[in-house]
Amino acid sequence: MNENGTPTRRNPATKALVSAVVGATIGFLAVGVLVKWTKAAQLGDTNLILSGVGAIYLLIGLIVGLGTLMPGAGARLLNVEDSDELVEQRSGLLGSSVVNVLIGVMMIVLANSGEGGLVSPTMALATVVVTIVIAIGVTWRSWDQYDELMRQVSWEGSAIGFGLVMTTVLVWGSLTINGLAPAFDAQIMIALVMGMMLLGTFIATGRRGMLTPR
Amino acid sequence: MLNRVKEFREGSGWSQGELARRLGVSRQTINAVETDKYDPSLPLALRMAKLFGVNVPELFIDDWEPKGEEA
Repeated sequence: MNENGTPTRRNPATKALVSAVVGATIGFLAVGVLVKWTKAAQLGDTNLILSGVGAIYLLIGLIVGLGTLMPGAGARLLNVEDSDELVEQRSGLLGSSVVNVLIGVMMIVLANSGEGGLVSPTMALATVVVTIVIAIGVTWRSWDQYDELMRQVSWEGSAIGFGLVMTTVLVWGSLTINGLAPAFDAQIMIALVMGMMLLGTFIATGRRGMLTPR
Repeated sequence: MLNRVKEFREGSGWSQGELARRLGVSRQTINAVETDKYDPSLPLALRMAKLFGVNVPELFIDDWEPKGEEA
């Protein structure tokens, strides 16, 4: 803490290492909790994969959301220059955080629904509908808070994610048609699309230098 | 595209946050422009130039030259 009451800046490399270790630890624990407390693992491998991708969304949303609400602590973990930057971007970050948490929960609910699942079909479908409606509303509102770089990164992330999905589905579909790969599974398709969109976003943000430790 | 935004910003004694606030963009945008990771839109480039009191070509460096007319 410096004399102005703001946290002293840490070496970017150290900060990146701490963030990676904390993220990996929380991720490992979260997947462990998911496997133990939900039925996704017992329902099948595809349920577990869907649940795992959902957990990544949920964790990203929670870390960004809590980091934004507690900027002092958030600045130590998130890739920002200082806590003021989190305060300046609070509105947009909280919107993204809410959408990520909802998508994560929705995927975990879906992974635990279906035959023999913990969640009833009515509850699962209601979760999906509510998530879609809120996600559209929050994204619509957040778009106005974004500046031109964030909008550009959003477009690029979506485009890269779509390209990855299209390529994967095309290759997988071709193999399936020719009897060389198993047919599409709904749970894997959802996990694939959501996972590729997330990967696309990471690639886009990385290209713009937004993942470079600051 | 190479640019001299950092040079002009530091010359004005502003932090990235201060420049971002004056331009109505995020600090990440200023950082991305200064590190050549992002070329700003024309309106933002014009605003930057106006803020520093220079012309856009003084702020953003483009090596492109028109080819001469073929005889």
